[in-house]
Amino acid sequence: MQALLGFSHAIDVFNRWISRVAVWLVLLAALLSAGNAFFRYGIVELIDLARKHDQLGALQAIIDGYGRNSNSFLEAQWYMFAFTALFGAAYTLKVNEHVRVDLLYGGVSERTRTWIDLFGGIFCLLPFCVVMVYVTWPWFVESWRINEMSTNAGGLPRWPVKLILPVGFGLVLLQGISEIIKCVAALTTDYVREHAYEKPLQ
Amino acid sequence: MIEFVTHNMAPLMFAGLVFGMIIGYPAAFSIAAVGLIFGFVGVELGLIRPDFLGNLTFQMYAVISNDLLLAIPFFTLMGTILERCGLAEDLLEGFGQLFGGLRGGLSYAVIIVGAVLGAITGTVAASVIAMGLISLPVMLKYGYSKRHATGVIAASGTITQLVPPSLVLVVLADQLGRSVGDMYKGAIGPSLIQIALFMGWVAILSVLRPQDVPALPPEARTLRGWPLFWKCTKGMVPSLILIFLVLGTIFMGLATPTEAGAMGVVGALVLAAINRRLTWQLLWQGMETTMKITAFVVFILLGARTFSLVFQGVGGKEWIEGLLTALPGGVTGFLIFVNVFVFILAFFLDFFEIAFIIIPLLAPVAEKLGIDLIWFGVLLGANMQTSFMHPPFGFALFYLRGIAPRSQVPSSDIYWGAIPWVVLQLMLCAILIFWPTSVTYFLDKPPVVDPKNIEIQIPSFGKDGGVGFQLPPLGSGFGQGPSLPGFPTLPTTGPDLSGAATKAPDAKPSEPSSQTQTQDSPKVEEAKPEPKAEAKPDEPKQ
Repeated sequence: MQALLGFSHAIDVFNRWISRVAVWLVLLAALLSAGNAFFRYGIVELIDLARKHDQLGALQAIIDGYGRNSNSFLEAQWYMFAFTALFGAAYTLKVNEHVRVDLLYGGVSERTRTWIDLFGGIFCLLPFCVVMVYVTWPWFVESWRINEMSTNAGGLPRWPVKLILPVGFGLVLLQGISEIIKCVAALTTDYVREHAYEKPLQ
Repeated sequence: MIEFVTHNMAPLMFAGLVFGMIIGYPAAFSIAAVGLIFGFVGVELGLIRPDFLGNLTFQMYAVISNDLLLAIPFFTLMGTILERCGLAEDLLEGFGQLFGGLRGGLSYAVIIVGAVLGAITGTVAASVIAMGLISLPVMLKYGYSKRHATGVIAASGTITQLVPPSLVLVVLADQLGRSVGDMYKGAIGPSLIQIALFMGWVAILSVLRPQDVPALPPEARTLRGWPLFWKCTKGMVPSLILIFLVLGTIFMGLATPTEAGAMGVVGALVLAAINRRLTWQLLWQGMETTMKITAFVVFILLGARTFSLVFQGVGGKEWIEGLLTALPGGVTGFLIFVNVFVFILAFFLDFFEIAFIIIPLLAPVAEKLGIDLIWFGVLLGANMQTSFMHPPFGFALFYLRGIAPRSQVPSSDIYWGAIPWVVLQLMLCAILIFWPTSVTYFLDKPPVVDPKNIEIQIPSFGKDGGVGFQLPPLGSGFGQGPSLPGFPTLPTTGPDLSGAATKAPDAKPSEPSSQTQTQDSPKVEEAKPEPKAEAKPDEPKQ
């Protein structure tokens, strides 16, 4: 059991580390999106400004650079969103913040809750994640093989965002295994699960 | 046995959904599992084509590549920053002093500030927590009844749900396949009605039970004249700037709701920095909360898509349609049923669960009955406000419980205090049902279509299975015109043929129309800055 709990702990640490990337991407995506909106509607004035003042050569370079890559920036927005959600999901599972219907769950003992989590982990989470990894992986491979690009001019390659699906589900799968180990430990030994159920914030 | 299963897949699957959700395992995974199990059974029984899993991949990708859903992290992050940036304090102190002399003055202040905060941010938690921390102690100190004080704060916090820019309306717009801007415009009228209802209730109380809502004694009103003016200005000016930044840019068509949310984040950060509240801890907490909410919302959506893909494949859509169109009372009967249904569900389900799992089941029926989906969405938004308010699981009450000292305010007072406000919100729903103009008044009037000027451009049929194209209603003549993509949907009264015409005879899983738009198709707006920027090098330098 100890060895399994050690394995579970290693998964927890790893997913915590991954989740930090997701947290950062929240802010980055917001700043990038605001920047995109700003550039799109300020671009006429910016071009004007650069034209009037020759010494603002750097500004001109920025405008040109932006113009060539604007679709990349727009796409990077939702790439970041996808990464946030799928990198963050495993950690969210760890801290028990995936939303539940607590009609029954809220009123039963901790031991019953542990049974529910064990049952759900084995029969709901694991199959779902396994199937999803199984069906999304070939999609990524195909995208990678043909070096698929965005259909928008100057867009980004597609494979990273197709890779994130199997990777994200794989991480959740790992975390699910970690949670199942904890449930078994809590039911058979005096191990106490760390994240008791609370109402999620909305 | 097998025959029974084959013929009753949809009801059985619905029962599976109820079971999967009620056991209390995170809904995202349990409904996905229900979808997959029935999917494999459906393949075995020959109801679903074996390659439905390929379609599933496509659906997953549609979820994560949906630009509109980006509004969820942005609005959430903005809310968590605004919660603690000092704006609510300034507003409440200013308005509290301004109206304090009136009976119920603090309640009016809370309602107004709730509406202003609602017009800035899109999340309920931000409003309730900020107002509860500041106003509740003051109200209790000066003898407001506990029930009334907690009720008005929780209720005013939920105004955020309905007042644009509301996250709820973004999500509903996405699920109903309507534009967020129209949804926001439709919500203006109901928001005003709601604020009027709330204020009216306070006014009634101040006559019937003046001891519940006393006026502040003169010594409590320390600010007068210019200092009071300054205090109110200090709260209102940043608010108005933020409202412009977020809501104004959406209404003027300058920014998409997603971008407006992002600009709101920047605005909130700047405001917090000016008020010297911007700490690394605040920012990190906000980002982490946002990350978790984004993750669980996306996973519910992924799970719900898995479920609904299979559910539609086994004929669930037709089953639900058959059930709901058979209701007595036609459109009104349907609306009342849906509202009662959602009201009851909201006791148990999170808003996102309702929006992603239940709404897709109801929306096609509403459309078939000729209900304006904007109206339908705003109505549901108003209805789901109550889910934040009704005891014992309402989130607004839950937040309030978290910040009100237990020694002073027992939970029973919070619960009882919420009830009059829930009744007011239900009255709002009734008003919306029987007076649809309250929603449609602020919508852009549909252009008058002159048949001579119609130039029919055939949209690409292939990918979205003809969803974007509808036949004109039978026998209605040209007055109503064909509904083409690009034109606002006109109200249809006649029987709608499109459903019958496009219904696939075999049990092939069809794709809901709202997802197809996000698939890799070049977006018109994205191309906008390009020509300007690229044309530049050719222009002669001055």
